[in-house]
Amino acid sequence: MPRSWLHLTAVLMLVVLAATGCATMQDNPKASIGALGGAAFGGLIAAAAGGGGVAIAGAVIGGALLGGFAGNALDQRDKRLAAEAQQRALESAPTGKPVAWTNPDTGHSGSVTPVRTFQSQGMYCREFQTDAIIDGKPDRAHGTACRQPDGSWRMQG
Amino acid sequence: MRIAYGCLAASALGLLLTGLAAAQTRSDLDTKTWVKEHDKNADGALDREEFFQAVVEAFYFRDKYKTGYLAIEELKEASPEMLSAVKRKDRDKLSLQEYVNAMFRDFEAADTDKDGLLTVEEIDVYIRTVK
Repeated sequence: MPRSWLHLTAVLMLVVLAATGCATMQDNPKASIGALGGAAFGGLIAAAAGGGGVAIAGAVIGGALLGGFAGNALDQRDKRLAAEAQQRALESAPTGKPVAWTNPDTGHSGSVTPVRTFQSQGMYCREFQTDAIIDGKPDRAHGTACRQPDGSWRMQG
Repeated sequence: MRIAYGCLAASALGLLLTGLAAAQTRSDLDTKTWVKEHDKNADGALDREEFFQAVVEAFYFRDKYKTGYLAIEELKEASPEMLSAVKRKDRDKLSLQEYVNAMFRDFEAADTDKDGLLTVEEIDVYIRTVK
């Protein structure tokens, strides 16, 4: 593989990195890592296959899009599972009883535990604690949500 | 008057437990379990704040349709006396504040040593006494 194609792939990956941005890296690291991995893989495959500059550029950008989408989809499933656990916990779990969630695809898991129930302006509200283990690291947060007339729970503050 | 409060309170407190168990679809909820679940500082008894939290949660689980009030049909399984109290008010539902007030009359009557704490024994004795 000519050295110039490697340079081109590297430059395009820097473009992808700039496009995904530091904020995305912090907010959704898996999507960013997926994008960069996809870009690198796509670029290298195109270069190895003897593709020209345009082909490599296309493969880098296409790989970035696909990789970013895959990474984002996994995080989305984590979020959906956590949100479902939160709804179940707030609606029907007694205080102190955790409702757990696990994403077997990522190995991520967590739980939502109601810690206090009260009424505010005629609405039921519950304080809760969330615990999660993401990539082996424990994370804990607290929040308050109030029950809306349609049965959903809206975060406060 | 105190006796009337006591009767109302005892029935409400005793049936609070069975009502809670039904509302949470649990069969394991006895006095000891209930006290333990709400005894935040693990001193073996419920103080007023712990009791208040327990009562608010009981109200939440009893309120099947989450209207913010307990309707007569939601009170029936809880206590005939409480139902009578609602009827005396010429209303068909009970607010959280009214429910809390009734339960705190229970608290005061059951707290025989007046230390501001409800133990499992005090609750059990109180329920048996009024039955």
